[in-house]
Formats: sequence, C-alpha cells, structure tokens
Amino acid sequence: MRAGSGIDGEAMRFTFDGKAYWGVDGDTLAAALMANGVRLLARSFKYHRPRGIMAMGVEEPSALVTLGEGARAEPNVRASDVFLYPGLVATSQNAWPSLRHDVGAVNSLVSALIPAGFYYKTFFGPPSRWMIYERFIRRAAGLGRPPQGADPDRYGHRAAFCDVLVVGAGPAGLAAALRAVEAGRRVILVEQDALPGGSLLRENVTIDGVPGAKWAARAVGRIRAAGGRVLMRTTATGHWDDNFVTAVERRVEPGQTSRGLAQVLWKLRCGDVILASGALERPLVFADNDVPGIMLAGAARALALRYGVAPGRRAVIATSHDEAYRTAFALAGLGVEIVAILDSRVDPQGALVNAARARFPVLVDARPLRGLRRGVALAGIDAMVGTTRRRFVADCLAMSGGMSPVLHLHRQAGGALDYDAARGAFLPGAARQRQTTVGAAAGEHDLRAILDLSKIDDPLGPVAPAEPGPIWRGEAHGKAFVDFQNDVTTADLALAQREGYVSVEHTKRYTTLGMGTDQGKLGAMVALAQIADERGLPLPQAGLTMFRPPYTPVTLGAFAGPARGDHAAPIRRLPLAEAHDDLGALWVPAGAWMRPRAYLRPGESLGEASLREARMVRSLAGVVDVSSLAKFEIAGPDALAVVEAVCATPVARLGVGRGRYTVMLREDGMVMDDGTLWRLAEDRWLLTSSTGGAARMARHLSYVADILLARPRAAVINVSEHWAGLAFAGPRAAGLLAELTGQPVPAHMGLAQATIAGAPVRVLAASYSGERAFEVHVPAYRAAGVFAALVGAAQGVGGGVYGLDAMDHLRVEKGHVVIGAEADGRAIPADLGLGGMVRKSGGFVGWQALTRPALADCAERRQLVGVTSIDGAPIPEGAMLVVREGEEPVGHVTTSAPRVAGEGAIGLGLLVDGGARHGEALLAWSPTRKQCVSVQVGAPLFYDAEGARYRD
Amino acid sequence: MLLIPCPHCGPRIQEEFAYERSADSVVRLDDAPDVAMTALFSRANLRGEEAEIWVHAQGCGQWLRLTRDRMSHAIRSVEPL
Amino acid sequence: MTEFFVSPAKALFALDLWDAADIVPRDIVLPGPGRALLGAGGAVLRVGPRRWWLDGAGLIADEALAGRGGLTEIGGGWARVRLVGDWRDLVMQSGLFDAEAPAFDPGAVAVTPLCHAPCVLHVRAQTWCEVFVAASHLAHCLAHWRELGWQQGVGT
Repeated sequence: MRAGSGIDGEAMRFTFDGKAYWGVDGDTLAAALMANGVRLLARSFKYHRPRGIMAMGVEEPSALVTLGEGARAEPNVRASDVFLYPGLVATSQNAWPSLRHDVGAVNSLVSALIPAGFYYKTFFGPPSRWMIYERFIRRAAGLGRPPQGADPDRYGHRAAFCDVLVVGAGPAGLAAALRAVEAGRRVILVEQDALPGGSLLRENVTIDGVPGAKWAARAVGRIRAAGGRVLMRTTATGHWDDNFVTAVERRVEPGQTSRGLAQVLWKLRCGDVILASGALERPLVFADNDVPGIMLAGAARALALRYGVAPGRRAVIATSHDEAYRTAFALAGLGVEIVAILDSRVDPQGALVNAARARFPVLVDARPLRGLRRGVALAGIDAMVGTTRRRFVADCLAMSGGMSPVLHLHRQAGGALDYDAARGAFLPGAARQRQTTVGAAAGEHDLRAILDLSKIDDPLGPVAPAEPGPIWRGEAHGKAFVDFQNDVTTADLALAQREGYVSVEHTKRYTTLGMGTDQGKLGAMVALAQIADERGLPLPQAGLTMFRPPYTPVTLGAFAGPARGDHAAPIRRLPLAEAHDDLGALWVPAGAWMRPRAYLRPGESLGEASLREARMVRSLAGVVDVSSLAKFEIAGPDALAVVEAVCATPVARLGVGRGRYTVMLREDGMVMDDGTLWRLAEDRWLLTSSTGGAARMARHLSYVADILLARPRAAVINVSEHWAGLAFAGPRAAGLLAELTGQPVPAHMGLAQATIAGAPVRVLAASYSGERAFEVHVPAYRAAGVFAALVGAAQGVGGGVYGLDAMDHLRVEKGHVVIGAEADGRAIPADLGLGGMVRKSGGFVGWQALTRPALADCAERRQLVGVTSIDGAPIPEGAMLVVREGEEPVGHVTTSAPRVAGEGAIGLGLLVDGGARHGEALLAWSPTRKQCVSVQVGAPLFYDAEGARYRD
Repeated sequence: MLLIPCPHCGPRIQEEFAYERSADSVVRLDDAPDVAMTALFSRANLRGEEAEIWVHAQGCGQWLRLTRDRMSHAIRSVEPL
Repeated sequence: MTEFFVSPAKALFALDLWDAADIVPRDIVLPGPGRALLGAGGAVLRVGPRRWWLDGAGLIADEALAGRGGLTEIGGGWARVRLVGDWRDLVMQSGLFDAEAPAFDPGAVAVTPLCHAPCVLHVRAQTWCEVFVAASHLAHCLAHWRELGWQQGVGT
C-alpha cells in the first residue's frame, strides 16, 4: 500500500500498450507506470532512443503517449500530465514493432550521418521532390498520429472578469489569492495540476500544524468560501494585451469520455495578474543523460512523496545546488539506497548539506560523465570526482542543474528579464502590464518568506537560495541531450555555431532546439549557457528566443469551442424562412444570410428552375424575398444633409412620397454601394442598399453623421430587420396588387401606404427585374400573411415565387450592376455607366477623388459592357476577355446568365475602353476551366431598351 | 485584445469596437481635392503615440478619439466624438 | 431551472434625441447610460449616447418630443428572449461581457454581442434577464443555448 500526499488509495485499472495495470486515484499515468515497474515509456523523436520519465509535470519532454482510442484519441500527451481514470487506455508512439524492440533505433547507429541541419543539407530540389521525401521522413521521425475521425468531444468558451488573477496554486499563489480575496477583491485562481499545493505536494513540511498538501486544500476552501473562483486543471496558456489571459480548463482527462464539456477555454479579463507559476528544474549535461532511470531530482522527490513510488532501488543524486539534497532524504524514506550524492560544487555548506553528510556519502567537486545502459534501463553512471573517474552502480539518477523560474506569461505580457548571476537564472524584470511575479517564479524558494504569517515546520530547514555550479560543461563525449524532445545534443549546438548559425534564433531553427511541443522548457537555459560559452559571451548576452503562447499545447477544439458544424459561423435566417421551406426553397448562403436560390419542381435542375422562374416574371408575376437588403431611416431636421453627404446623386429636390436610384462612393471615388432613396416625409428618408454591404453602410452612415457632419440634428436608424421586403414583379403585378390593397398602385418610383391581409405595408414602386414591380415592406413579425397573400395572388394567374438566381438572370438582361460583381471596389460611377447621375456640385463623400485626372479621363479604365455568346454557349463567369487565347486580358466577365427573353447566353463584363468597343468580337477565356467562348461586345442592356415595361 | 473604456458603456473588449482611421486622415466634405487626397493617401503613420478614430460598432455606436501607443498598444486617453 | 422564453419584440421603438446625450429634456423622464426605467406601459432602455428604446406602445408621444427628437418603429427586427435561471453564466459563455459584475443588477442595460449576434440585455431580476436578439440571428443563438443545456419554456 503506497502512501503519498496526492493519492487516496482507490484502485483503478488501466492499460498501456494493451497490457493491464492497476493504479490509484490521484496517480498520474507516469506515477502509476513507475509504480508498476514500467520505466520505458517512449522512443525519442529522431534517434528512437529509449526514454522514461524525466519530469513530473507539464515540462516532461519525452514520455509522450497517446491517450484514448478512435476519434477521441489524443496524441502527444505527457504521461506526467494525465491523471488516472478507470479504463484509461494509453499507447506508446514512434515505435515499431514495439516499444522494446523498435526498428527505428537504427537511426541511433547512423546518427553521425544525420546531424543538425541534415534535412536542409540533404533534400535539395524543387518542392515536388520534397513531397516524396516527406513521406519517409514523417514515418521515421515523429510524434503521435492525429485521430482520424471527427472529435466527439464538446468544447466551451467562458468569459470571466476579475480584479486579481493568480496563476498557480502553490504556496505563493495560494497566499496571494488569500490576501486578495480577504481584501474584498474579485479573485480567480488557476492551477494546471489536479491538486493545489505546487511544491508542497513533494515536500515534507507542516504549515499551521497540518501537512502542506492539506494546508493547500484548506486554503482553496477559504478562497472559495470568500467568493473567489478556483479553477483546477486549468492552464493559463496566453497572456495578451491589457491583462487578457486565456486559460484552458480540462474538465476530463485526455482520452476520457465526457458527458458535458471536455474542455473550456477561459477568456479572463484581469485588473491585476499575479504570476506564481513556480520554477522548473534543469537537467545536467553528460553523455547519455537520457537513459530511462535518469530523471530530475524534483521528479524523483515527487514520485516518492506525492505518489509513494520509489524511482529505483539504488539511487545516485547529482546536483549543482542544495535543493536536490531533499530528494536524498525523500528516497531514503522509502528504503532506496542512496549510493552517493555528487555535488558539482567544491565546498558546499549549510545545514541541509551537513545533515546529508551525516547519512549519505556526499562527494563534492563531483559530476556525472556518462549514463550506463543495460537493455533499456539505467545500470549505473560514470562520474568524475575531483580528478578521479569513478563508476557507481545505480538504477536511478536524480539530477538537478538548478532552477529556472517559469517566466513565460511574464514575457508574453511584455515584461523584461533580469539575469541573476548568483542564482544562475533569469528573474522577472520590469513588467509592462499590471502584473507581478511571486514565489519560485521570482526566485524566492524560502517558504518562510512566502507564507510570512504561517507557522512552518520543515525538518530539513529552509533551502538557501540556489547557487548552482556551472549550468553546463563541455566535457561530454557521446550524446549529451539538451533538448530531449527534439533530440538536440551539445554536439548539434556546437555544429550550428561552427557552421555560422550563431544567433540563438538561428541556432534554434537550424537544430530545432526548443521547437517541440514542450518548447524546450527543460533545456533552454543549458543551451543558452553553451551558446554563450562558445561565443565567449556572458550568458545574458547570448540572447533569448521569444516566449510565445501557448505555454502548453492546446487542443484545436478548445479554440473552436461551440463554433463547429452548422455553427462554425453565425447564420442569419430570413423572417419568412419557414414559409420558403414550405415552398421547397433551395437555400444558398449569401454572406451570413441563407437565401432561397430557387424553388425546384420535381425533376427540375437548378438552371431549369431559375429560367422558368425568370420567364414567369417576364410573362406573369412573381414574388422574391428581398428582406435581407439593408434599410436605414434617416430622420431629423438635418436629415437631408446626411443623405446629401452619403449619396452621390441629386437628392434635394426629391419630393415626399418619391424615390430614386442612387449610388454611394468611397472617399477614393469608387462605388461602395447602391440602392434606392425614398423621401418618407419632409425630414424622414428611407435608404436601401445591398445585403452584403449592410454592415459597411451602417458604419458609413454613422461616420458621415457623427464625424463628418459633427452630430447633425438627425438620427440614422438601421431598420433592415424591422421590415421584411417582398418584391412583386411582372406584367400582372400592378393589377394584382391593386386588388390586394384595394387602392391604386403608386406610379414608378412612387411610394404608398397600404394594407395587405390586415397588415400595414409600404409599397415602393421600383423595378430591378425590368418589369413593372413593387417592393412591399412589412414589419417582419407580420410578414407571413402578406407573403401568403402575394404568392397566392401570383399563383392565381400562373405565377409564383422566384429565387436569387432568377433575380440575377433578370437583372443581367437589364444591365443592372451588383455590388461585388460589377461594382467590385475598383469602379467609379462612370465605369458603370452611372457617370451622368453624379451630382456635379460635389459635397458628397468621394467627390474630390472623382476630379483626379486618372479617374476623370476614363478611356484607359475598364467599363461596363454587355457580352453575347456568339454560338449560344454559356459564358464562363469570371473568364478573361481576350483577343486571342494566351494574350493579356483586356477585361473580364463579371456575371453570366441565360437569356430570359429569347434563347442564348449573355453576360456583363468590365472591358478596357468598353464604351468604344461595342460590336467587337472577343474571347471569354477561362484556362482554369478549359473553356473558351466567342462573345460579341455590346451595350449592357439586352431587353426593353426603351424602358416601356417597368413604367406605369 | 485591448480593453477599451467606452465613454458610454464603460470598459469593453476590443472585438466590440471597429478601428476607423487615424485622426489625421479624416477627409472633410468641403476639403479641396488636393487636401482631401493628401489626407487619404499620405498619412503620417507615426511610430509611437497617435490619435485614432474608433467606433463602438457592436455596442452603443459611440465614436471615440483614442490616443494609443502603436508600439505598446497602451491607451492613453479616450474621448467621445 | 434554466429556461428561455421567446416572443417577437413587436411594439419596440427607437427614440433619438437630436441634441447631445447629456442634455436630456427635463420634462421627459429618461434613464441614464446603462440603465432602464420600468413603468406601467413598459420599459425605457438607454441603448446609446443619443438613443433610447421604448419597449411598449405609447410610452412617449411624438408631441411630447416637440421636435427635439424622433421615434422609429424597430420591433420587427428583434426577438425578445427571457432567460430564467443562471443567465449570467449563459451570457458569459456566449459573449465577452462582464455579466457577473455586481453593478450589472436589476435595471441594468447592456448592448453587446452574444453568439456573434447583436443583443441588448436588460436585467429584470437576479433570476431573470431579458435579451433582445436581432431576429435573423435568433435561431443560431437558441441552437447554441440549447447545446449549453438550456431549454425552451412554454409561453413567453
């Protein structure tokens, strides 16, 4: 029966590579495997070397496994960062046929042939050749495989605001959170571990009379009772501007089935941020420092004290400072024989060192030279003691090269770093945001200083501030790993220097140092020390690579959150969506909107249906839903000034009850949008504009009013969604509408109030189709009855509803431009044949730009033309207009359509000097679709040139 | 990622706001063409602090003059327009 | 209980005062920034520097404005959703607005997007909140809220 600060004895079964084991509640997978004597957990990335547990937290570089099965499988999970759950299934990665007998380990034998930069040097050639190489490289070197199916888990997003965010629930974080919450502040405390306590979980200390782990649990209870929010298993992964912190909460463990949300991405807006993110231990650099059985001293201590697992039977402690001595006591407490403590310092002093000397063989000026392997496990180490080489037989080496404060968030937030030569570490310097760093993350390791009001009983006494020996030594022969995850050795770093990749950023990219999923948490300082040495610089001048979010890898699902499937983007539905469904609408996305494209009859193709609908409008009557068009009311004594500033056409003399077509320009003179403007009353206007430009037009109107006109006595009200809009068009429309409303219909471009099916409506007599037509506007919540009445009336004479495609066919035949197709942001009104409408007196947005010579002289510009297919073949939309295939284009086809009135194919296009080229024959050439159609250029008007059909 | 103090609504996240332009590039309706084109196309684009026009587009619609350091993103002042 | 009740906003009007927001007429009682006033005929919500929403017919007559502002009907564009239960948690899963702030209490109003949809929140009680959702976005919002475990209640 194991005893530890973090386990409670409830047994649970799990499997690793198909073999069943038992662990206890509170175990990490790493601890449970060690408890079962499993020490080989993975094969390394490049050389397929056997690897075991190196660390006991998120910094673990090598022990990466796949958790779960099928679509829920999560690759590259650190075995030390997954807590056991009943039925856990873990699988090793990057090994074939098995972890113990991995064929890929042959890479290790030829490692001299695959040094750093191997790929750059070897795989020259065009990108196409890379595609072939890559298949083999990926198979040989790699991490776990991504799951193939869709992720069955659900992910959530959650915002939270607080006065104080504390990152890390170790002693310093708990103390800071307690102080803040007791001062009445809104506090959030996040902790990536499943238990609070941090370092207390791996120390034998008593605080206020209770064991450290229990004290921590009580502190969490006190914070919660005072109104604080404590999020366990939550990692703060990004620290952004204005103290915006993103944190990922794991509600279930990797691979575990969840009933609710598997993970929640917290978006934290914080007044102050207190970083109590602790410190990570550094490895020592010696040959074969990666043999399973070699681990960080803190990890060995955590195994012993938190999980009650002995990491071996005979252990050597190798250290450059005091803290690792605690590991000797912890392991000895479980009956592990301490073979030796190798201290690289020449004359270590202090109570802890003296206490150790009384129990264990302590050797000074001593350091490991090589890890010795038998099979896949540690058999012993060769060490240098003074000037003597000695061999120690041991199955565990607990090493410590000093502590590196975790400063990722501090750096992400823009904080500076100060190098502390005494501690051999970077400490947090000046912060750029309202953010402080406390505890081990700030270099403070003394519990008495951190918990100043608590009574602390620590039998081993306070640890003196770590004053480590040298961070690295250049004496290793053989593979001395610096970055264990990416198999980067001291030799690779030296090679990079020799080959001129001097700067740390170059070294990183050349050797892949720190580019794994662990971002080099373990070895960064060691690497820096070596680079500094080789360049003959003090360490801080060797430079640092960027600390980029996320601190630990984040599942993509957490970023997506609820935005998946049908809800990957917001969908806007028409008020009459159900009625269209009843009529068999085929939906098409138009921006965020879903709009009916056509109403297919049995056996009809989309093209057939659209042409039928369009011809129905030409001959009878049809109804189309135009509710998504933008609509604005502009009201107030100064409303005219707003309208005049926005519209480039004359507006002032428009009478009440009348409307007209208008265009709105950008400041650079290009057409921004078009629509119709109606004068509802002396000082109230209605402006309609395109569906796609609605948001842009809303902002433009607001800008013109509030900024350019400095808040006129007028308001712009967006009534786009208030009014449903139904266009009723065709030669029979006027008669039918008069019957429905019981009153005469308004003249073309006139406006009337009326009642249909008991609902008050506005009737705007405007035509887009080229037939006599009316837009009927009705408050959206009353639209259903009006729509039914209009559709019923149309059907009564053989007409009916029509969709977006039919509407497009009709407008192409009339040469009406569409924003985004013909008015593509590069066209001025004159390019579109609208030059004559523009107000000569100016005073509207964009008038100045139209006077620029480049725009005023239009001959070289692309102008709107109509194109007719000479042999009747459909014209490819978007095709280039060329004189001969392969030549530079002189224009392009913006929209194509079948003729509604008659047969054949027509289109609209933009053509250089198009106005002067009517009658010319060109090719509509689309090499990507391998289509080429002969077209004749003409006026952009194919139907009813006199406009007799739409006027009353 | 900024938190912008809207004079009407109080602090709100940046996503609710839309950046319009730098304050020196407003083209007035009665500006002469050369003045207008200079304002539009020849901007100072300062390194460091600059006045900008923003709007609380997804909120109350308030227009703001926001003085912001474009290196550090620090907002020095926000005034309603 | 976590339920939502949906109905069209119907009689909803935008009231715009031409002059600066800080010059609120004395003879018309209007709420300040971020607040609402409840009366017998309905509620008046402050939604912008120069704009109020009148939730109810005839709350303020055009004549009372005496040319100082205008009324525009907007109710067709908005759905009224009553959130009953832990609505603060729902709001903060749907947007990035501090619905947990102590000052966001009954009578408070906020214009902020939820699920990317334009929304106006009106806190009616600790246990319920009225949310006006842009009508075209309603189905999208409700689908999201159902996924979060909320259910549509019977009635409005």
